[in-house]
Amino acid sequence: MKSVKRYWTFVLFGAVFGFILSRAGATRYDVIHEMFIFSNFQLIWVIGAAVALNMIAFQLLARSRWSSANGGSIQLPNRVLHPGTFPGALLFGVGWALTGICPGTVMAQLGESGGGSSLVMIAGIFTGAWIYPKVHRRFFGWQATGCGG
Amino acid sequence: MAESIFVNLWPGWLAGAAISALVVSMLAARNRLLSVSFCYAFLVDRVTDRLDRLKPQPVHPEMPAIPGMSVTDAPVSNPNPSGDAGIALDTHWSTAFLLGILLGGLFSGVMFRWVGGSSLAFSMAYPGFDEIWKLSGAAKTALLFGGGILVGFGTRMSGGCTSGHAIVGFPAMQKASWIAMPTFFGVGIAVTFLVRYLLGV
Repeated sequence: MKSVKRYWTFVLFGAVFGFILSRAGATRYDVIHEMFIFSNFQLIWVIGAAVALNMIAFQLLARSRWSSANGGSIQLPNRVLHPGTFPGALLFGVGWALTGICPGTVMAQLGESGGGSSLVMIAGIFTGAWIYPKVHRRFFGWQATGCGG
Repeated sequence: MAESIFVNLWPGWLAGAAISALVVSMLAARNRLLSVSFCYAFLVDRVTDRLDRLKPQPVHPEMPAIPGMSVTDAPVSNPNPSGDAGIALDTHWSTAFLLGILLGGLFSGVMFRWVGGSSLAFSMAYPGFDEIWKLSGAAKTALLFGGGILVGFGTRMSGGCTSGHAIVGFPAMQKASWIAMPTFFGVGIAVTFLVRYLLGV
């Protein structure tokens, strides 16, 4: 399959990410729960280190004009601020506190423990992602795009 | 030695550094930014699009025929009626990435059990969650499913999750992420305290 050859690097990147998430404890409900009540700073260190290093990295990349191995200049983040940014984050925060998962960690969690709970949550995420465009088209309709991500 | 890698949790700063290295490698090697929430959105769109094409569809004049489906290595600026907040609209790589995350977790879980010597048990058990919520059956499934809907809907509406906003957008000084990240963290903290209060934990 042409796709396999073309996309295996992304499977690899994903696997590294999933492995790190699992080894960091991000797939464990109690670790997230304890983070929220300030009794376990494990994930604060994880996110903090990633944020600090990425801040430096993005600054350097912005100034360096490197092009990626693909050719073409590196696509730096360009996240659009739009009316959904804040309410979406509210809803996500509620779901995160209730379930202890993010879209990434739950996928790693499913691989790690193979649990039915993970499957149920993933089904929920797909459902929510499926509902959203319908709601958006019907009620919101703000323009939410920009170049890059 | 094997225990420190596969059984004990890694030091937080080390895992964070590894994630940063991954984000930068992915950008340098494949010119892609890490944001898992978009992966779900694109996959859902791809499936629904395939299903829609099975039935006769009028082409909406204000929408491109296949919303959000361009497979390209270059970032695209494209009116997106699904409301996704702008990222290279390429679905295939994101599905591969999601699959990868699953496999990475699988490898971690298998090695954890092999090195640590515990057994492989597949069930509805959700360690940590079960001790606090003490739910079972339909109630537990409903809560987990409903919570998942909030995560899927909310991250799509917000244009990112902890990977997209917190570890990519926020360090890149994106206004949207500087609003989103403190919001979902703050709400997460507040709701957790509320839940603990309501459950009497």
